[in-house]
Amino acid sequence: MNIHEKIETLTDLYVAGGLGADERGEVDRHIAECAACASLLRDAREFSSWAKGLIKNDAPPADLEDRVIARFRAAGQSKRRRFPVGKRFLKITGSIAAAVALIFIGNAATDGPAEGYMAEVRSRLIANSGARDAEGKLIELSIDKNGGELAWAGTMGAPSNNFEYFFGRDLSRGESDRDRGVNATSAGISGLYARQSDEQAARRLTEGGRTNLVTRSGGKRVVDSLSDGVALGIEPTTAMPAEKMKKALDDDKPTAKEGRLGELKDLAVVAKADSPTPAPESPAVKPPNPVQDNRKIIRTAEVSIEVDSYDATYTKLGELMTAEKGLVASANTHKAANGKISATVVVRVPPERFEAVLAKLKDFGTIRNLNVDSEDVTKAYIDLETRLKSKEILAERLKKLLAEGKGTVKELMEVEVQLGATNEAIESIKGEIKYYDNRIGLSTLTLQIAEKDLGQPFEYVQTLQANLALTARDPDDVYAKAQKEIVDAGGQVVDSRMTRQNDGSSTGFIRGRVDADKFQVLRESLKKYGVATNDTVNQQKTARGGRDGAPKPDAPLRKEQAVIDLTISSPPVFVTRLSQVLVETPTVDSAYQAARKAVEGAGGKIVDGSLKGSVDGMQGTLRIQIDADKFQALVDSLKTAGKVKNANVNSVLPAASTDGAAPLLRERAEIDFALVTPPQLIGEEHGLWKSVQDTLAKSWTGFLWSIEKLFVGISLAGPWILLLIVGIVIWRKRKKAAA
Amino acid sequence: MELDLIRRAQAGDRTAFEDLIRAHARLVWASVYGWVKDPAWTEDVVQDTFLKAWEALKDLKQPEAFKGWLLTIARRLAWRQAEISGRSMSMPEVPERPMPVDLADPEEARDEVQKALARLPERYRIPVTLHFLNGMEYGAIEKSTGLANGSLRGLVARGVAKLRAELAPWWRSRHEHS
Repeated sequence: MNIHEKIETLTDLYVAGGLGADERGEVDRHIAECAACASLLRDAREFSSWAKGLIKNDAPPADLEDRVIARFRAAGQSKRRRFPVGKRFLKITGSIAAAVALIFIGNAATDGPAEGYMAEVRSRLIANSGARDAEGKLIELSIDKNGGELAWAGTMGAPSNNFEYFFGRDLSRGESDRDRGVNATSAGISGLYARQSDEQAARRLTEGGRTNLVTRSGGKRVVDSLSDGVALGIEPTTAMPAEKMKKALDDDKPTAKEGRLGELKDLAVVAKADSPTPAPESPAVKPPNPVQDNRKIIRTAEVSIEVDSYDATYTKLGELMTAEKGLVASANTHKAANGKISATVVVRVPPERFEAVLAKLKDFGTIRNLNVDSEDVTKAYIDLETRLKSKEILAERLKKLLAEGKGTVKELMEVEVQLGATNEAIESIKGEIKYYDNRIGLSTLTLQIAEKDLGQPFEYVQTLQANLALTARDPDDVYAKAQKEIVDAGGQVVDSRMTRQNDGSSTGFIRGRVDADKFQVLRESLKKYGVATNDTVNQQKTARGGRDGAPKPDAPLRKEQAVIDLTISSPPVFVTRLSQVLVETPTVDSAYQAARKAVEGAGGKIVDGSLKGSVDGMQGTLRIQIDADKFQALVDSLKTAGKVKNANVNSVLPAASTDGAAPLLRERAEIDFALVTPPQLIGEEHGLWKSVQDTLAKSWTGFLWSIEKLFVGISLAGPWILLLIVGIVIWRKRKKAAA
Repeated sequence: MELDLIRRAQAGDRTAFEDLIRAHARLVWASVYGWVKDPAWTEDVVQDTFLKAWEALKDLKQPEAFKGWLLTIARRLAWRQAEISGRSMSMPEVPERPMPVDLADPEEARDEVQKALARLPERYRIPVTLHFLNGMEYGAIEKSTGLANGSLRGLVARGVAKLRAELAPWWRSRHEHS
């Protein structure tokens, strides 16, 4: 797998956030250099937001879990299965303790009583703030510790319609709460800030007993993802020793539900909650409304406009942007073959001018398609800010720990690693905030501009093509002449081939191109070369560069060069006469060669020929084809080769012709010509002398044969005899010596 | 911790069960949505699923199989409700590749996305639904489905790729139109 393929497999995961930092870095580095892969990634990202955008109305409510739980509780109450509050509270505390314990599972050894305090703080927070009664929950609580010192940061949330309950007292009491805040500081909780999201956009509509969060914006139904409500950020001031904290907690036993929460450091109430449930019969039609302060809404629109002239439109667009303090972010144009321009122009305008700009676009041309979209990112934005804040606090603490340099090297290393991770998270959050700021600060308008009649064809093309099949007596001749004819007409031969069969027939094919105006003349003149058996002309007119249903009569007509496909073939072979001639001659060899020459001289064709010798003499055969009119003369000349032993002629009548080629039937004749040596007469030379001669010759031959065999015998047996003799001699000598 | 929660819920601890709801509601939602393709109805089924699960929890012999057990209940409820109400819950038909619909109508385009999503095999569909519709981050999906990183990666990548392939005609024509 090369790098591009690898990147391709990673793009969807990248967009879904499923890549680790390493791989993400790899992709980032690669796309910085590789435009193709960058475009793949952009594609994946666009697809993701496109598909998400289309089905976002189907998204489950953000408080799905809460609603399921509410139903679960309601069902439990109706069945009287509710547990006593005290027991329940204990159980909550227990589960929280378990959860907190899990958080610290990695460094449980040195934790000591920390989990206990955390659980205590946690349940105290829930109880004191009234969170439990207000269906609130602790979203995030993180501890930061160094030895015995503890500090924490966290976030709490509650449904927004419990805003007053949850928080109202603190808001109304002012100074006295400040005092309480100071009290609470001793328990380690110092800061508290709250944000309340804009309830105006998210209204509850009751539909068939089901609650949906619906907002209307620009006439478009959008399910608002915002139903979060109140978020409290809790941040530490200073860390304190664990013992001191324990004491503080003990000293500060809550006496009532109203909270000793801490000092209200930063209170940003974005919008006070309206009556959360407007009457169902008056659906909240929100007028196209410029963004309110602090609401984080990303507005986008896609507009398709048909205009007379792109250039003029672009100029006007530029002027509009100057007037509305917007800017043209990008423009891509494409010029079609018919000279019309289509373009995609992205402009960014201040949100408050968004509607005005949209309205003005109507003056530019005909709006074909308009798609306005808004995405409320308030929740995500606030979450980001909260997370950023708590991470920053954590980073500060960690830095401090490092600066103090207490603890073992291993511990310090761990702190450093954690600091790195925290800083990375901070950067990532900042990046996201920046991204949102950009998107929120300027609304994005994507204009698809197309000039009128973009779909019209810019020309029509006429094509002519002829199929012409000719039968000609001499295809080779016509083949050559037709090519010359095409070239003379100013055309060109683009393809030509000639095939010959061994029966003497042949077929030629020529494809010629010629200017359309010379087409007819050429076709007529080609037809003169034979009998036409097929003659068809195809004419076609096609529109180029256009779409169906957009005819343009005045578009120019371009005539492409005409094509002529010409096929020339021989007439069918037809044998009309068949002759067999057998001639005897002592000199078969030379007579055979003479006959071949005679056939060629007479314009005949030798289809088959053989010359072979045997004991009885030589034999030559020829199968000859020749035009009928030259048949008789050739037969006569062949007969002069020797003594004619056999000669016959059969005439075959042609079968009734079925096609128009009848006048061009090839009248052919076939001759089977055979040459043989006259039979040898036995005993032509005889007499006594001849017999003696023969006998002597035979005995001489026999003598020579026996000598030859003798030598063979000697050379085979000689060495063995010699070996035997030597053996006997040695044996005898030994015997003598023994005697 | 989850096993612990399940055992406590089995013993009658409602708060433990509420924690289980928090952990699994979206997973069930994503699964049911693929069958019924209607958000409001899906929510009904999800709520009923948990009520049913609470009643039947004592009979669950293997707490490890809680997730699958929950999804089975959800599927059975969805089918039963479909039968009662006569709502169609047909398994998505094989697409015949019609001409891309008119994209001026977002409803139609949405239908196509919905259908394409529903056609994905369930093991791809749930992570993709969690991401596309619940807006869940990758890590949250991992937690919710309980899948290890390696297998989830593959499912998300292939699921999204399949979805893209299915929606290619609409996605392309979105670029080309006008």
